[in-house]
Amino acid sequence: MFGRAHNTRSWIIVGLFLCFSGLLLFRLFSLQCLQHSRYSIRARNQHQSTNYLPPHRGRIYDCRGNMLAASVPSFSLYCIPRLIEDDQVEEIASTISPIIGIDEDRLCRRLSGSGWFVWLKRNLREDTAAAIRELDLPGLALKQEMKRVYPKGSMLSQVIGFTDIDGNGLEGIEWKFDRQLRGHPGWMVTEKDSKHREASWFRSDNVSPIDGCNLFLTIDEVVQAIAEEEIDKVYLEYGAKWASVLVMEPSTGRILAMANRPTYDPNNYSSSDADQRRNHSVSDLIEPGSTFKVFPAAGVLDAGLVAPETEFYCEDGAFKIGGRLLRDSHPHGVLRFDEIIQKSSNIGMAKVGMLLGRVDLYKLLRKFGIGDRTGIELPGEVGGILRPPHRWSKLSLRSITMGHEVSLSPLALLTAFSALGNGGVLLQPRIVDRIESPSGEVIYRYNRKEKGAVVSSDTARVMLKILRKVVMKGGTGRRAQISGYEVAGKTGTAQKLDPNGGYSHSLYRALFMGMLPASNPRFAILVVVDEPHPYYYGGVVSAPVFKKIAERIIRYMDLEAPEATEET
Amino acid sequence: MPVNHLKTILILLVSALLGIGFLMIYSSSTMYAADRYGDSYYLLKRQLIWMSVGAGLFLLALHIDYHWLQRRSRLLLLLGIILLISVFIPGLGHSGGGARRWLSMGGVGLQPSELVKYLVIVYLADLLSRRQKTINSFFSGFLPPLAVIGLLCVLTIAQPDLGSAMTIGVIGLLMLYLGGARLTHLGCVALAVLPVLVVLVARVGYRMRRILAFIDPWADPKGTGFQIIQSLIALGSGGPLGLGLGESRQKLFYLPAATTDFIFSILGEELGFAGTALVITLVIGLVIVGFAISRRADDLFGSLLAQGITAMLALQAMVNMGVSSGILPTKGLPFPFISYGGSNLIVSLMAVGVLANIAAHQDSECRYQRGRRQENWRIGDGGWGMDREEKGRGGRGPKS
Repeated sequence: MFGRAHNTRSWIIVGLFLCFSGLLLFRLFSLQCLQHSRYSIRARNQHQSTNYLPPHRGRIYDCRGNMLAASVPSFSLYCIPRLIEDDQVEEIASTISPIIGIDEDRLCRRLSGSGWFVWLKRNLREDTAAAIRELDLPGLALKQEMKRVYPKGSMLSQVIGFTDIDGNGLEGIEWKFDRQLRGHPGWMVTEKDSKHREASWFRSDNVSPIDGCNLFLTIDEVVQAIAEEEIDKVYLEYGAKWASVLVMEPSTGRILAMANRPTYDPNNYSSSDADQRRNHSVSDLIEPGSTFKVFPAAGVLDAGLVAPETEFYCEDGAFKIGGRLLRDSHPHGVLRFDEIIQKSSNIGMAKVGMLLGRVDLYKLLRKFGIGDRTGIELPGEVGGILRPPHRWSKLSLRSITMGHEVSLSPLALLTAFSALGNGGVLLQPRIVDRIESPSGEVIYRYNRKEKGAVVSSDTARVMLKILRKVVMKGGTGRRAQISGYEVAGKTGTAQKLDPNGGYSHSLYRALFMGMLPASNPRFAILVVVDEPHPYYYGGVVSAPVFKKIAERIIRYMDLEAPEATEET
Repeated sequence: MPVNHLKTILILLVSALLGIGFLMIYSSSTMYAADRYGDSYYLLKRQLIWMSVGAGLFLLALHIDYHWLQRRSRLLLLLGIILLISVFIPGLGHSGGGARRWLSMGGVGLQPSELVKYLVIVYLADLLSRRQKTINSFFSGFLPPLAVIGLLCVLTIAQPDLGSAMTIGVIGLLMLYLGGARLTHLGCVALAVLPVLVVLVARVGYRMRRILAFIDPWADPKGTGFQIIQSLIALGSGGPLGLGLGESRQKLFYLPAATTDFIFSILGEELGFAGTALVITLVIGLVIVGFAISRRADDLFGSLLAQGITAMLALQAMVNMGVSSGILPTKGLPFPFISYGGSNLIVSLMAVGVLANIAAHQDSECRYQRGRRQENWRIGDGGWGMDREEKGRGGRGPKS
C-alpha cells in the first residue's frame, strides 16, 4: 500500500512538471506568436533610431573663386540626463565645466532630469571634442553637425549674412538663397543600445545627404577688401553714423564691392546689433543731394534743350523761387551749363530743371529707375520715393533737381549713374553671378539684363565729359582727381531731414559718385558717409575715399592711363 | 528496454542543452564582455573552462558508484554547512549584488549554496531510504530531516539568498513527499512556512517591489517593472521563428542579466517560439528520463536520489523560464546548462553524472552489485519491486 503511494507521488511530481511545461508553452505561444507584432513595435520603438545626416551647405565664393562662406563638420556635445545617476551629476559637471566653459550650476541643471536629449555645447573645437571623448563619461555624447564659417570675417558680412546654429540662413545671401544653399539631409536608420550608442551592424537605410549648391558672387574679393579698408578709415576718421561704398561695373551691372560700416563678424553674429548687420547700401533710403543733379541735367541735354555751352544767370547766389529764397554756397554770376554741374550751383540747376518741366522730369527719373527697387538678389532692398507730379508742391521741382524730396537707396543711385557709363542704357545690378551644383556644373547664371535706354549714348558721353570737370580745377570734387585718368564724378552734400521737421543745419550726408575712365568706364564707385564730423562736404569727405579706392583698383586691374587726354 | 539507453538519452539531452547554452552565451555575452572586460570572448572562454571542469567531474561522478555518496551523506552535508558558514568569514566570503554568496578562492568565485542544493538531496535520499519504517512518525521520522532543511534555509536566508533558501526548502519538502512523509505533516509545514515567507518578502523592499512588478509590470515600466518588460519585449519580438542567431537587440544592455537569469529571453528573441518550445521539450525529456531512471533504480536511495536530482534540475529550469515569460515573480535562478555561471554548471554536470551512474547501475555489467542491492531494496519498499516485476525486468531477491 505504501509502495503504491510512493509510486503515485512520483507520477504526481512528473505530472506537475508537465502541467507547468504546458502552461509555459501556452504563455510563450501567446507572447511569441499571438502578441508578436505588438512586442515587435515596442522593440522597434526602443531600438531603432533614424539619424539625419547633415548635408554640406553650399559654399559662397567671390567671382574669382575665393571662398567667402563654407560649412565644416564639427562636434556638438549633448547629454542624456536619463542615463546619469543623481550622484554622478556634480562629478560630471565639475569635470567638464572647465573644458567647455559653462559654469557648474548651469551644467548640473542640464544634466539632471529625465530627458533623452539636452544640448550642452554646440560646435566644439576639435581638441575639445577629443578631450571629452577621452573622458568617456556616462550620459554624454557627441553629435556631428555642420558649422558655418566665414573665413574672411567681417568682410562683406552684411551682404553674405549668416546662418543660425542649425544652418538656417537668417540674413543676406544666406537667407535669400537658403533653399539653394541648404541641400537635402540624408538619413540612416540604425539601432542603438540602451546607452544610446549605435549598434552599427544593424544599420539599414543609409542615404547620403545631397549637398547644397555653391554660389558665386560678382563681388571681387580684392576690390571688396580695398573698399572695406578705405571705408573703415573714413568711418572712423569722421565719426560717421554709417558709411557705405559700392563698386559697380557699368557695362554689366555687376557689383564688385559692397562695403558697409559699422560692421560685424558673422562668425559671431549673436554679439552684433541690428545696425551693424544693416546693409545700408540697399536698405537705407537716402536723399541723394547734389549727386542727383546728374539726372535732370542728362535729361535736359538729351531733350536738346541745352548745350554744354548754354549760359544761365545764377542770380549772384540768391534766387527767390516759389516764395522761398534759394541759395548757392558760393555766389555765381553767369555760368555755363557744364559749369553749373561742375560747381554744383543750386540756382543754375533749378533753372535747368524748369526747362524740362514737371512731367518730363518725372518721366525721365522713372526711366532712370528712381522710385523702383533695382531688383538685386539681396533681401531687404528698399524702393525709392518719388512722388508723381500731381502731388508735387511749387517747390518740388527745384528740390528734386537738387536731390531732395526724392529718396532712393545708394544702390539705386549708383545703378542710375552707371547707365551713363553704359551708353545711356539702364542695367539691373547683379551681385550673384551663378549657382553651381556641388559637382561644379552651372545650374543657373544671372545674365546681364538691360532695363531700357534712358538717354542717348551721345548724351551719356557728353554728360560724362561734363562730369570730368567736377574733379578738375574749379569743380567741387577736385580731391577725387587721379592724375592721368579720366574721372567723371559728382559730389553731393545732402542736408539730412531733421526729426523735428524741415532740413537739419547740422546733420549732413557726404556723397561722391564717380566712374573711370570716362571714355569707357570700367567701374563706378559710390561713397556715402552719413553724418561725418567735423567736415561734411561730399567733396571733402567722400571724394578722397573715391580717389583712394579708385587708385588701388586701377593698380589691381592694371588699367593703363589714356594718353594726352589730360586737361587741368 | 535496455537501461543504458536511458543513460545515452540523458547524456544527449544534457549535451543538447549545453550546446544551446553555449551558443546563447556566445551570442548574449560578447557585447557585454567587450564593454565590461574589453574582450568579447571573456565570458565565453570562462564558460568553456567551467564546461571542461564540469565534464571532468561528470565523468568522475559517472564512474564512482553512487553508493559512495550514501555512505558519506552526513559528512557531505556537514561539509556543505561549513561552506555555507564560511561565506561569512571575512577574506573568504565575497559579496556580489548585495549578498555574501560567494567563496573566493584564488580568483575563482564559488557559490556554496549551489552545491548545498544537491548535498541536501543526497542527505535526504539516504536518510529517507533508511528510515522508511519510521517516516510516518512525526518526531522520529519527519522532524529530523525537516530540522536539517530548516537549518540550511536559515543559513542561506542569512546571506541573504532567499532564492536558494526557497529552492532548498522546496526540494527538501519534495524529497520528504517522495520519501513517503505524511501529507498531513507536509501540509502543516506548508502552513507554518507561508507566514514566514510573507514576512520575509514584505519586510524587504526589493522583494516586495518584485512581487508588485510581477502583478503589474506596466505600473512602473522604468523602475521595477523594467526587467520583466524588457524580458517580454525580447520574447515577444522574437516571434515564431526568432530574429536569427546573434540578432538579438535586447542583449544590447536593454535586458539586465541577459547572460544569466534572463538568457532564456534572449534565446526566445533569437530563436523564436521554435527555440523556446525546443528547450521546453528538452527539459520535459530530461524530467521523463530522470524519473524513468529513478523507477529502474537498484534501490530506494538511488531512486530518491535520481528523482531529487531530476526535480532539482527541472525546478530551476522551470522557474527560470517562468520568470522570463512573466508567469512567476522575478527570482534569480539560473537555467541549468544554459545560463552563464561556473558553480551552477559544474554542480549540475556533477549531478547529471550521478544520475547517469544510477542509470548505469542497472546495466548488466553491474549485475552482481544489483543483486546485492536488491536485498536492501526489499527491506525498504516492496512496491517498487512489484513495479519492476510488472515490467518484466529482473526478479526479486539475490540472483546468486
